[in-house]
Amino acid sequence: MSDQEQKNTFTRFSAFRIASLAILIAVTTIFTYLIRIPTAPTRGYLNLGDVAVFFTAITFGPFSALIAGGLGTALADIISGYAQWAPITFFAHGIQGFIVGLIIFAHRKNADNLRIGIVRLVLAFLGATIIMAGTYFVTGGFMYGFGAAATEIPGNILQNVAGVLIGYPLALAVRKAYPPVLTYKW
Amino acid sequence: MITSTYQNGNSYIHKTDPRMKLFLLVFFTVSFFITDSISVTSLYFLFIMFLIGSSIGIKGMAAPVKTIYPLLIFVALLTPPFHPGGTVYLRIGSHILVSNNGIMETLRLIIRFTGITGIFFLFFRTTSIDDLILSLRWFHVPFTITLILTIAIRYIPHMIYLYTSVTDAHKLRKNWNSKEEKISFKTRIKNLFPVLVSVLIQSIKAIPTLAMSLELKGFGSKRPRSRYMTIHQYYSFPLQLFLLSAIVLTVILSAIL
Amino acid sequence: MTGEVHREPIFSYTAGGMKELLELKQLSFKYPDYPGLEFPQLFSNINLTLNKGDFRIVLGKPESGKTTLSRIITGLIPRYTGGVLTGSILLNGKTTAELKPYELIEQAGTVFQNPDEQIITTRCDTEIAFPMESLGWERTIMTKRIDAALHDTDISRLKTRNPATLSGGEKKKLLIASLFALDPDVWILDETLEELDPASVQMILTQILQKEKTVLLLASKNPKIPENIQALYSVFSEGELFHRENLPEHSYQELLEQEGLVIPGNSTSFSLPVTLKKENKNGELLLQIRNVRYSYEGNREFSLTIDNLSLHKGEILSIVGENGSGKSTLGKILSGLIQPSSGDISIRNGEYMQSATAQALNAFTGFLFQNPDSQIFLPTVKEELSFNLDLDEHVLSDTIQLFSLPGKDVPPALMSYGARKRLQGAVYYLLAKRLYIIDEADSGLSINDYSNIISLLKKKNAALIIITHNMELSRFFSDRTYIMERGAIIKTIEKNQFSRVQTYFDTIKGNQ
Repeated sequence: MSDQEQKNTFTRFSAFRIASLAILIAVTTIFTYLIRIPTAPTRGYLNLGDVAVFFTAITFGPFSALIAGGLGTALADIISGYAQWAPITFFAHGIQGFIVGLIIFAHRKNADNLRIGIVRLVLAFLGATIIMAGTYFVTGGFMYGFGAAATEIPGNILQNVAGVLIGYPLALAVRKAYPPVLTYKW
Repeated sequence: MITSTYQNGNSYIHKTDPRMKLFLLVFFTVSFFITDSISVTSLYFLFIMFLIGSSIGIKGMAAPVKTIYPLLIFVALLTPPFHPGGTVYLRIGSHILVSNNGIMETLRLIIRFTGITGIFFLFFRTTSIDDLILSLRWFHVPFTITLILTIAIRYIPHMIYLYTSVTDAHKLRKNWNSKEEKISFKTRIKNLFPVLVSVLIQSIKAIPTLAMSLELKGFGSKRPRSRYMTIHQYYSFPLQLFLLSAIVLTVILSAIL
Repeated sequence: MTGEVHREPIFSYTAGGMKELLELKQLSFKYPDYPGLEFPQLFSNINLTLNKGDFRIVLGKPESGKTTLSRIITGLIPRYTGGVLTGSILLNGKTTAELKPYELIEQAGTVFQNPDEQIITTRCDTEIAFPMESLGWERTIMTKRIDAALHDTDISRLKTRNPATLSGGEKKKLLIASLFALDPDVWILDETLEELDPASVQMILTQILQKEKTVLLLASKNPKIPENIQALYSVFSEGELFHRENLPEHSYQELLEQEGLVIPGNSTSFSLPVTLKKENKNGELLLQIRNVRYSYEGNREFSLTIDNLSLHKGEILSIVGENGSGKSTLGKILSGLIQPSSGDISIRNGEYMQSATAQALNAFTGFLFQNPDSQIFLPTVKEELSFNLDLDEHVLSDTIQLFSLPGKDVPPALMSYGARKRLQGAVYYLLAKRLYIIDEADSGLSINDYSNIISLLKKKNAALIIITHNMELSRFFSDRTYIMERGAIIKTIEKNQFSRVQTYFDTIKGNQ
């Protein structure tokens, strides 16, 4: 991750921030709602919500990931008829994105160090998984018992694996194809 | 175009002030969590089912259950062993699998979860997102948040269109000579990747243009904003306030007794 | 033309009351470079004065700087893009250099070329209300203004509709209504008349001029404006802005032709590429459609009905029609993206014609979408062109040259719209399809680029279908033209019958 953080001045405008959050929410919503890859256990499919969360956190930073990750996935829940999960989803994915963003953007001085980059990514994955799967487990436990809530843990871990394995390369590919995005972080 | 589970209708719940519905949504959800008595939560549950049945119809009552029944099965199977006590109905060796306590706990969880699902279903089925956003404004959610939501909802159909056309374009560029009968998980991801890149770049490029458009509509100006549309233009809140307080009072009383 | 024709201009200004509303002095602009991609000076030393009540049309081919100019005047550039801007802009006699876009909206308002980029709400009336809310206007005033604006643009019935469900023309009317309500002094309209029918153009322009608004209309094709409107003209050419009133008339006309701003009807200066001139009647049959029907789920008003359509090698067919007439649906069927409910599509497979599956059509047809970005996936031009193909360097560099692309390592996402459109053409050129469908490519391409892409694709032993709403263009390029309405072909025009047909709307009127 090379760091040319010659900031674009327009990232300071509130209009830009509103616009980026709105678009990122819409992106997260359709990634969660529309793009589903059939797989085996638990939910029966893998959605790309976590991919969007990782992408947003790596590209736009922790705050955008908090809002867009949380509201985007919650909106997808509402649209697909799982509205009762929306408040929980908001926290689970919002904080997940926030943690990933914080870890990825911590100690930017060593941005080019490959080893630190990998450590950072692993930590981000672990933090995201614990937060996201943990939130669903605890809140699910209160709502419908910890036994049933535990059955969702493997699926949620898988979601995070997909999140980091697809989300990170995606962020790199987008940077390569559209370099100005490097200056969009705020 | 799908923007929510909202369906236009004429029922009395449709006509109820969304602010009141929003309040009841939160109120019942919290009540379900803080009430332990099964008889009381059953009452809530029956009340919610009555609201669904009388507004959307009997068929509507099954709709929320449809989305959660696999989980309900898990709850029924996994809860009893963790709550042994009372009369034992089934045991393997020294492990109590099904007991009176276990069954009561399972019932409590199922009623709570189905009830919460029901009230959320009813709310979003009868309340348009526009009305929800106006209500949030009334409850003093900051303008920036509701604006972000409005724009996001305006962009979702656009994104769906974008995703479909990129997928279509990708189909037309595939190498059709290689015949892959079975599409493996890995190939699926490999095919999806360029599509996602393309969708993301187009979305990201839309950000500055959207920001420009916002500023051309005066966003950023330090003048205090006025409001063209507010929720009380459409609903007579005070009239329904009476009904609302009646429900809340009943619920609180039944919880105490 | 509908309505009464007034010979006299509706408005006139007296010399004494002349007031400079907008003045551009020695304006120059250049976009910032990116590594591997340099942008030349976009324009230099532009001078332009708009007096109150002026109606000035600035013509220029795509990417000549029209949109940039509109965004400079409204304060968006270089605020959002960076770049070097010199010279000065005066609005109502005051410099705008220190002002933010949101501080200018009562003085200068604009309608974007692509209305989808400008609409931000989910209801027409709240869309119009938004800028007035930003200015803190009273609700009663807003309500009155919104109703009047909707009435003036003839879209009162759309008041509570979601803008996403409107046609392109209706979206533009909504944005024009938004300006009516806000009532700025100077109106900058970017290709705004493109998708409007002549009656709407007449109505809206008349309204604007009755209100004595000052208009700067930017257009890449000389627009047909009602005869009662007295317009001033300027032309962008190689980074300079020329005003018609300062030029001898013949040099002005030459300038228009040189820049490809008029479809070369009788002119001789524009020469067709050789491959386009040949008559192509006797090529082998490539595609045959019989009794194809298609309807969208839940939409009973529209169904596609094509009884018979055939295409031969080297043939160019134009399909002309309004939004929703079924042009794109037909395109999707021919490329196998959607499957007809009934009917047969046969395509050539070696010696024989064969009924085609969706997958066979995917491979047979290249569908160049209106938006090139949906067909661009990869980080560099080279990777994009060689995606799924085994290209040698030679073919690659030839293609880059043929389509005048900026270089093999340039990220397509950074290239100009025209260059991305050319890249899209190059991608399909290399894929060697037998049928090419080109959807509404004329809006963002210069006439030279457009004809270059068409002639290159035609060389690939293929047939071409051009989807457009521009009749003149279809007359110019195609062997045959179909007019589509509500899913059916309602009229066929052979090349030699085209003599007096002018626009799509004239044709429809003549037909009724």
